[in-house]
Amino acid sequence: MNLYRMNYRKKLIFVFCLNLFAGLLFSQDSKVLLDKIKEKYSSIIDYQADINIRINVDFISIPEKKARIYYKKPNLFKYEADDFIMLPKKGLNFSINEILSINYSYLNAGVQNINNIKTEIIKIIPLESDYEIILATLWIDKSNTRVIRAEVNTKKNGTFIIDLAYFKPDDILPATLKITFDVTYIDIPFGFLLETGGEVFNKKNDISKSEGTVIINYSNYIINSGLNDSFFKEQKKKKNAKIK
Amino acid sequence: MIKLIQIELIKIFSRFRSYIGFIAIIFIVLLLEISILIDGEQILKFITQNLEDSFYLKGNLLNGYLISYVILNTLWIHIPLLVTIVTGDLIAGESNSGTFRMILSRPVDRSKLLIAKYISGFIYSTILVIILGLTSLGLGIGFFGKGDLIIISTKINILPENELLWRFFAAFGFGIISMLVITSLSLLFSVCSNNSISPIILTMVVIILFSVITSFQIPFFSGIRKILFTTYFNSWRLLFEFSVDYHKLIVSLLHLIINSMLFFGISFFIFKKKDILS
Repeated sequence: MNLYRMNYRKKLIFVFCLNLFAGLLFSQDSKVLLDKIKEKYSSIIDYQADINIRINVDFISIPEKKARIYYKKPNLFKYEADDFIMLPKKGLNFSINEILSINYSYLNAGVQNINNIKTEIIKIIPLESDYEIILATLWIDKSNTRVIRAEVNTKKNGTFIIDLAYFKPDDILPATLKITFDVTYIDIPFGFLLETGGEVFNKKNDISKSEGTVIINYSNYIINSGLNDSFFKEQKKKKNAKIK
Repeated sequence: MIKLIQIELIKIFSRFRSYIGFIAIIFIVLLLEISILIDGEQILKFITQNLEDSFYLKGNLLNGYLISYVILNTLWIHIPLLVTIVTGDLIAGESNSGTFRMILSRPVDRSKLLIAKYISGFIYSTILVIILGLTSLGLGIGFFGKGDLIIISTKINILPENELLWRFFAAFGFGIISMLVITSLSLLFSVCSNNSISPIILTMVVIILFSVITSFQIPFFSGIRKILFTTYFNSWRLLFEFSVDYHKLIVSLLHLIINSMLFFGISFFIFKKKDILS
């Protein structure tokens, strides 16, 4: 086939077919990658770990906190701490395994280097209408078959980005989780109940301060120890009773 | 000198009015604690509602420290009024009852007598602050337990439990210095007056007037505000900032001490020169 001899219409059809074929190839490749990841994450039925929580939100000052986190498939979480802790609702409970278990459509969005790691970007669009997540973009470390970044767009809670770092190349569970989220809509009644003595912090005045991050460091992982469902229900009962 | 202070303390504590302050503090603290026990959880839920949309909050936030902090915020402006009831009467009470001539006819130095009255007045106000601290913290922890302190003022500060006791002790210490100003001011009015009521009312009027000027954040008062002692009364709150601004705190303390010394100095000068006619 000589491209120079082809007329304009034929050239256009040829390029379109080529694109379609490449897209299908990439798409198939992405599906294989997603299935591999799902399989890898499926091996974790439950885990528990010590966590250190650092909250970097402009209008919140809180020291670094320690807690213990418990997780069981598909989405059971429990936290234990000796003192007061604040944990982000977004991101911490985001389960890659869960999103890959629902009915979804996907799209390959190219490649990108993150911290010298070559990643493949795959966009996942859940097809279930009542699912909270609208779109999840995953940056996948293809060589280690694991996610190192996820950007999640939700219906009610805006967008959040999760950056994951690992201890070892073959680890599935992260050593560090950095969650970046929008805080502009968090409206706190500053000064209510207590008199204020200075300028009330106005996060809406400074757009650059509208993002908050929570960094969670994990240690002492115990994986697949056989946690019972009833262990997680204790907390739910307490949660309904008090602000806990 | 110690004997003189002892006599003055006996005089103070032999009057019923000296106990009004203690009764009022215990009653108000109890009332506030019971009301928070009933409605506190709802109030806290209202404050943290939006925060809970984004965060899991786990731990006892409605604890004794929070209650104590709320009570301190509420009562800090009223405690001086209770102090005045006793300290305003220190000199004027003697003039009013005509006992000064008898006291000063004995070989007692005027300056020593004034200093003894001043010190005993300060001891009274210190006991009042200690009672406030013990009741608010003690009852608060008894009713609500311990935990980290959440302060939602200009921003959200969450102070760890292990740092709270020293912060509260320092805040009460700061409160004692604040009450020294009130003792000094009421002593000044007491020296200038011959009846018991005037110095009490005058001190209260000054506190209210200065507090109004302090709380009105308008440019007209900005110059005056810096020299009013009431401006520095609230500086104890600096101790509950995440990072304490010690420079600001020391400046506030110095302002309060200078005010106290100034009021006492004027009182001393007037009392030394005063003709005792009653």
